[in-house]
Amino acid sequence: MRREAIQQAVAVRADFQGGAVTPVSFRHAGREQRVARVNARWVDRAGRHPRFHFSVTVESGDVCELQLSGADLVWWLDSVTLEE
Amino acid sequence: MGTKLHSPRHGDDPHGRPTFEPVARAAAPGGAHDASRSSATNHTAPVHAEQGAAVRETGQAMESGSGVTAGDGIAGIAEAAGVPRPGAGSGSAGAEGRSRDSEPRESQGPAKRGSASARARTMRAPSGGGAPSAPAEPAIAPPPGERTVLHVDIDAFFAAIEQQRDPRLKGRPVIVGAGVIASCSYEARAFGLKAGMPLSEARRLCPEAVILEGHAQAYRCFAEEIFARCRALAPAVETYLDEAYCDLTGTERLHADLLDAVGSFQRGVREAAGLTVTCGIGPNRMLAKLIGKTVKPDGLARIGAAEADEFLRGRPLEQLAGVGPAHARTLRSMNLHTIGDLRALPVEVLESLFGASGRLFHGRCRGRDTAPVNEREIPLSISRETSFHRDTADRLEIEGMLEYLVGRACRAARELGIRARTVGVRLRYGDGEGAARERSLRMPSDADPVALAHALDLLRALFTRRVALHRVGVTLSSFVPAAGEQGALFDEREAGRRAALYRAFDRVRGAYGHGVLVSGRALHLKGRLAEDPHGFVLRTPSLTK
Repeated sequence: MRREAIQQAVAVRADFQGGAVTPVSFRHAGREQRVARVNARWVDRAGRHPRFHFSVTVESGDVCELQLSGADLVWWLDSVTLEE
Repeated sequence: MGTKLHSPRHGDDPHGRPTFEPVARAAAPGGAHDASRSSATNHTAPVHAEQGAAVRETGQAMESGSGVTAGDGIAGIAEAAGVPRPGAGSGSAGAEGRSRDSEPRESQGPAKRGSASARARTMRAPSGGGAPSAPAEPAIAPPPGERTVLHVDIDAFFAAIEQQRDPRLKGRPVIVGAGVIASCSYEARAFGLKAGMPLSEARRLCPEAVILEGHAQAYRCFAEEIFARCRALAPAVETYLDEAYCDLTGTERLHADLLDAVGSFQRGVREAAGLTVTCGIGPNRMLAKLIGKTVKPDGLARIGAAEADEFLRGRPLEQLAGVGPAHARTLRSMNLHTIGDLRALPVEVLESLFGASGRLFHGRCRGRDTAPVNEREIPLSISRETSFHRDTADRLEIEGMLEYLVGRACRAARELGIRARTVGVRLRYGDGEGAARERSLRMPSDADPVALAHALDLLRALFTRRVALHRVGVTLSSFVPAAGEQGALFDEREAGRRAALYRAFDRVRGAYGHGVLVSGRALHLKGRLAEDPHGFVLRTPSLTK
């Protein structure tokens, strides 16, 4: 397993139904990545604004970590984990 | 008597009628009836058709098929933990969820009476008897004056989170750690791996293991989610990195059925965080933790004070709280191998061997532990440490890291409103040798420069070998409340200005992350270490004990 830090702001299509955020797809490196599965979600409440983290498996099989900043509602692609 | 349940679930019968089980929980060791203890060990609810909750708990044990049934008593628990049952042959029933011979208590009404075989049956309530006609009593009420402590332990914490974050790791041996194993999955434990083992040895034992450095901040988020649920369950909760003690004393009316409430808590954790927790309920912290260990992972067990004696007797010495490898070696050299053996030593002998701890051991080996569950408004210590990505002898890098760690620890102290009287530094060289030293401050302080000056002095005194460092850490301890400290007469103005400056730093860091302000030597780390919104990524989880 190799985790590559990306830390780039990305455009994410998300579902906000039922008071919970669920990423559906995002654009990275000019490609639309569809979220096949949300593996885990956690909230980091350190700091003034919460940060919502999501570990997702995209359709290609890679596992990506997305972050929604509660301060400015900007989505970040934190990392991509690749199978070696 | 000790009750052990796996994967708690509701046990109503498929036809919607409540099931109930006329089982006496308090069985004497080996299954003999001990009527004289029944009032002191009354964990059995009066069994009526109306009291579905009381019955469900027993029904779960019967249906789970993997735990010891309520009627197993202490012998069942001990067997499940690998301790031979006194007087039981090799062909005994084992801990497979089968009911054992134990006489019911006469005082608990006709519904409880009957032969062992009758108790082993799951009985159905008469039709129409499912609706409660009387207010339900607490299903398991501890005897008056007995405490109820719940120990919650997150199973294979770091590794379980990593397996959740990346489903490709599920079913594979996963190790989290840098230098040594901080946590490993149950698949890795099958290869003999355990926390604290050097990674080199782990690789040798399990070459296919996936080794991850871990992400302490994410782990803390998951832990906070679980601890918040603990606080909803109990009025007093004491938390650690991956475990918590909850004082449930006096909540019998709040949680009509304590085992049900804890089972529901476990399900809630599984749904919300995707993690499993093992819960042990006992009359004190030590027993709650020990009984929980017998049902790991994802188990739930309960023990009463009256069962402690039998439960502890045959267990290895190392399981007694406070007995580490060194103490265990001393005791084994005296031909003492079990907790029961330790009872032969008078308190004076234990005190002469182990000092103040000896008196504690004297009580603990008899199941007595008076340590309270407290919120620890003032922690014992705050540690921040990390291993370097590559062993280093570069003074600038080492001192920069120390300054950064001191800043993190002092900020944690300021947030808690406490000041440290003692600063300690810990080193570990690349060859595995370690060194540690502490120093008391003239005045308690939470200011970075004060703690840093002492930490740097300690580092220079400790770092004397011509070997690269693998890890460095700083510990603040012996805290006093910041408000209760008497200031020095002449540097009051300077201290006040400095405190205001650091309060401002903390506000900025609180809003934008610790890494937004980096000072002095820590600037040397910029570009060398990975950063996230919390600052430089530390490779060892930060601890506040």
